[in-house]
Amino acid sequence: MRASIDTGGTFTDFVYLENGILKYKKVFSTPKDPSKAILEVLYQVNKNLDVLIHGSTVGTNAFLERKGAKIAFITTSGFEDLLFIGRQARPKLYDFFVEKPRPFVLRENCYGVKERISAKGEIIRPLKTSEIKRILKRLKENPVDSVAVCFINSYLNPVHELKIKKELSLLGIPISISFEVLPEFREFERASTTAINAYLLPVMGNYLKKLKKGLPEVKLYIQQSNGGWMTVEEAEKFASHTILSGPAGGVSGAFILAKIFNKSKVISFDMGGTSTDVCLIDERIPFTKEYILDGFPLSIPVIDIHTVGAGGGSIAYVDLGGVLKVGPESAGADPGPACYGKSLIPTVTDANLVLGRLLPDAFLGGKFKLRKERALKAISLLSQKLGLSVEETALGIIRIANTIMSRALRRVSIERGHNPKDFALICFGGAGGLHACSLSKELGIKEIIIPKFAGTFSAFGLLFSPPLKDFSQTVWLEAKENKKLLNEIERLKNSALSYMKNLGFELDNLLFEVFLDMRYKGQGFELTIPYSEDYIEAFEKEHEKQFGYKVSQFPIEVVTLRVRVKGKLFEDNWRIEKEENFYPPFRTKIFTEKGWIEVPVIDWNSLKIGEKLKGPALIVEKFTTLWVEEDFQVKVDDNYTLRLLDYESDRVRNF
Amino acid sequence: MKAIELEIFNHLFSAIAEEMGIVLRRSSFSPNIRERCDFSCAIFDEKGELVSQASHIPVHLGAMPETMKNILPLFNWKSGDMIITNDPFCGGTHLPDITLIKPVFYKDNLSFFLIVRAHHADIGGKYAGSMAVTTHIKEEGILIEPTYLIKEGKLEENFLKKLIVKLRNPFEREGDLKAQIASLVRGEVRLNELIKKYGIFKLQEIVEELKNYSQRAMEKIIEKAPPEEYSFTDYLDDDGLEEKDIPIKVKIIFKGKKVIVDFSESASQVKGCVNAPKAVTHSAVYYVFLSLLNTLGEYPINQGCFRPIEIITKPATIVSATYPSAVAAGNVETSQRIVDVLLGALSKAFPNLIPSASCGTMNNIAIGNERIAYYETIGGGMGARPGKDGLSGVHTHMTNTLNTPVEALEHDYPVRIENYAIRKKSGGEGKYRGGDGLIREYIFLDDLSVTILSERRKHKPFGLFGGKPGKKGENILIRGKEKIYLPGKINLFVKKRDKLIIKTPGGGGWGERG
Repeated sequence: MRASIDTGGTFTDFVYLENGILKYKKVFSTPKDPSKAILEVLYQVNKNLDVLIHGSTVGTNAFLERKGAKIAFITTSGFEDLLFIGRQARPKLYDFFVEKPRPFVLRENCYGVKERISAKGEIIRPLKTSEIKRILKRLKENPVDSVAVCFINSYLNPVHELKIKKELSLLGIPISISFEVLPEFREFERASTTAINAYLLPVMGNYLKKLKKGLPEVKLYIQQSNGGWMTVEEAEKFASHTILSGPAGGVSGAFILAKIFNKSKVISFDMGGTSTDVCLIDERIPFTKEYILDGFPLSIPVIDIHTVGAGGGSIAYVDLGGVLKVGPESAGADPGPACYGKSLIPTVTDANLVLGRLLPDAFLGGKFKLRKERALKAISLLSQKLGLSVEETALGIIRIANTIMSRALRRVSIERGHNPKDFALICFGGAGGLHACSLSKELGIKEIIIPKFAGTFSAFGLLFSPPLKDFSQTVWLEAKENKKLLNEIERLKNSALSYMKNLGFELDNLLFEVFLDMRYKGQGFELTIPYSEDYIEAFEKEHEKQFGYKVSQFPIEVVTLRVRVKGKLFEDNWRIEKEENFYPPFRTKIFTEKGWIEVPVIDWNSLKIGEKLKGPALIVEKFTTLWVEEDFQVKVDDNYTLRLLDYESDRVRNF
Repeated sequence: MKAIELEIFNHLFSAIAEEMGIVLRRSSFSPNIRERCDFSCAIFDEKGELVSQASHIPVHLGAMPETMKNILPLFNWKSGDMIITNDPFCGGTHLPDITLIKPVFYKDNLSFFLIVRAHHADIGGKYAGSMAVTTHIKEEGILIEPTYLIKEGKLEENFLKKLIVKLRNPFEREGDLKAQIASLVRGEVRLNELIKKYGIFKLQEIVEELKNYSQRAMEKIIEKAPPEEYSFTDYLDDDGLEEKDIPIKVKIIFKGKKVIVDFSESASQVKGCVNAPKAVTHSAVYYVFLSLLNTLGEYPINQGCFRPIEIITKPATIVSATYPSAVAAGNVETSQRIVDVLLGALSKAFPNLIPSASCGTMNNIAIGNERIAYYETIGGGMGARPGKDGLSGVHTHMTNTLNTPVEALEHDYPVRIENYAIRKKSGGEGKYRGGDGLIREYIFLDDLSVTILSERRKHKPFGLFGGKPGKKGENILIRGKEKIYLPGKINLFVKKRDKLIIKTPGGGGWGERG
């Protein structure tokens, strides 16, 4: 049996396939020892497990809380402060009290080594063995758990990094060298990525060891930030690749669902407690190399997810100028929104409750009762300041949260030259269903797709993810030098091939994708273009799409090559079983721009495949609620996935 | 419902300015724009008042309203026009900052203006990079008086051709201008979408409300100051030609909801290039008050913020330069000193909100020859704050440009960086320590011309309330075995294998060390 587990901050989601039936479960996470919740849920389910794909926040959390390992950072002499200077900028402009990102390496553990590689990759100053001996001695006097090495220009010539790695392995601790982690130019970004890797290795290693011990018979795969999984051994070497694996699972899920419905263009929309993640998929899952992890660049390919600080727990307040604001601070899970009963902090969730869009006794399948009177009280405190009614204030909170989320959706679509009208919105996460209709209208999106298991969607994505490994190399070539380029591609492909072979993959099952990071010579940002014969034309087209112009007479360069190796997807069929009704049908009152209206409440479990209904309606499931606004029509599709179409949309006719 | 709409429209407007910035940054050619974010994008209303600006670089901020004020009456605005200028005496900052302005029309009615200003790597003149010690604006580069780049949709090709051939690396310059145009066009598309959706009257109404809202917030912080007069004087080291202190003097008078910032007693303008155009002085004042406002929360930055602030400068002084004085360093150096002077004065009015002096210079380095022009700035120590140490190795106050990655620099130019480190113990002692400056060492791999424009090589960044000053900066040239101490501002020719060491100042300490 194959299963997947997504460990989040609050919940641990578990999805498995049993005789073609997809089942899911949700338990509270055990943040102190995340493996506890995992082993617990496996014990509860008590099935024979062969394969487990796991996405975890262990790495992310260790970094956010600065609870990683004690590491040494070794670099070219003269650059010991590299991680502290960063890009020399401050994070906020108009703030006398601004702080730099909290460091994760102690300055006294940063060592400079006499060596130098030139910008052409030649050795200018050889790395002497005596230098390495000196460092070894220092590391013995002042021991660390893990080492990161990043030499200037090593992306062109790794010989010094390899040499020092070999010598330092005597210490018996993990050594991360930048050439292996990220052989690309820009020293701070490469150093930061390498150091993050070293910082997380011991934490991840211990965690995985524990997990393996608890699951001796199971093949364990670890989800990565690029949207695919790797073997445990790889995750133990490249701990930094496990960052963001949960949200990545969500995007993979959206990609899989999109395929099922024959869509090549979708936007995934994941609204959680503290933030909302959106990602635009046009044929393929996009990735970025500019991810920033709590102030530090993590420049490996990460699924290009845009995050904004608006979620169910986002706090609403009135500022000194008398204006209503929402977020980015969140009430979190503890004390949580006012309706959780522990505080009087007004949040987006409270606003939804006050407006009747959340039912107090349907949250988490009724296991957790929301206290509406506290939500009302919290929001009335705001409404007094604003001179508005409680309902108007709550609606205002929703409108502002929607504005922030629609800005995120615009950022990934319109601002990059895509028209939202061509995309379907795949909505998941606990809170997304309450906002999806309104956002779709705002952006002109014509269709919304919501799976029944929207509350455990990331775990679903993991279950069907492929093995995936990214390779890259900065090459600095003129785009016209076709022959050289092909040679370099061949070289990178071959080294990728032998790498995968060593991991035990069968080469016949592997798929290669080649990308080129290209730019006009003189620009500072590269566009990543899938390699094809007319890659130059493709670059110009993309440039025009994103920036509105191209300059045909300018020389173009290929800065970095990327090879992505993908293993076989699990392509098994699945369906979900009908569950018992939780609610008898009844009617409730919901506040909208038109005032209070009466709408039917429908249990998701009572819906029949093929059935159609019209908004307004509230559709309730254990882990999610869907607010269908009046202009929308709902169709119950396979596996009780709901598809919502804008009523006025011309496609409704062919529905 | 205003309370809700203001927040929603604030998001809508700032999203446009931000998107314009993304288009420009990601598709431009100058390292100044793409790597260092030395640019700004803003939306103005039909009256020429600031509606929204993306936070990129403070020194442009107050300057753009000044640009708008100067340029608005000069043209008979038509749909499809685009104006270009870099005139420091007409609301500009210094010559490399090229500004494009586009009016946005709705049904024949002028509705908005969009502005984008970006620091080009070169604007001609005697020295590569156009940031050098000079005595006349004409030596600094090409001065583009406000003129049409596009007239009713038609590009002024002759003008453009004539302009760019006078600049080093004309291809790059053309590329940067294209990126600037693209950014404005994108902004116009987005504004038109807003107008279509909400109607022009609604937008205009909300713009006024937004300005009033920001004004109310600014008045709140101004009212907190005891209604008195506060003065302070600090000095620029020199003008690059003559070894003579240049005093900058400010008198700040708080009167209820208003504040008057008076620079009339500052020095007359000087021969060297440290003269600040009036727009730069305005930027510095607005920067300081916006940072104070930030202690109350985040408010939209628009013209409303500036209404309660009256700025008085005398023409032909160091803080309000007139033609034909040289101004290259006014924007980057004098602006920082103006901030220091303001902080010194305000520390008496807001003792718990004002930091000690930061490094007070941008440490400008321009490197080039006939073919190439490279320019960068180096951060320093931040002044200690009440309750917090200052940050080390960071850009402060009027700039926030990123460094160029050493690997990018070495790949593109005949220079090797040998050392890039925090300058230990350069921050001033105190109850809270000033941040440390930086050290950057260049080895030249070819004969090149180099210009250094730096400050605080003579006068240290001051501490407050008993905190000690930060260390002065140093510029050193190593030629063979010779070690030459260079002045703060100099044009020089370096030879292959020469080494240049720049040590930037630390920040001042705050409070007596107990």
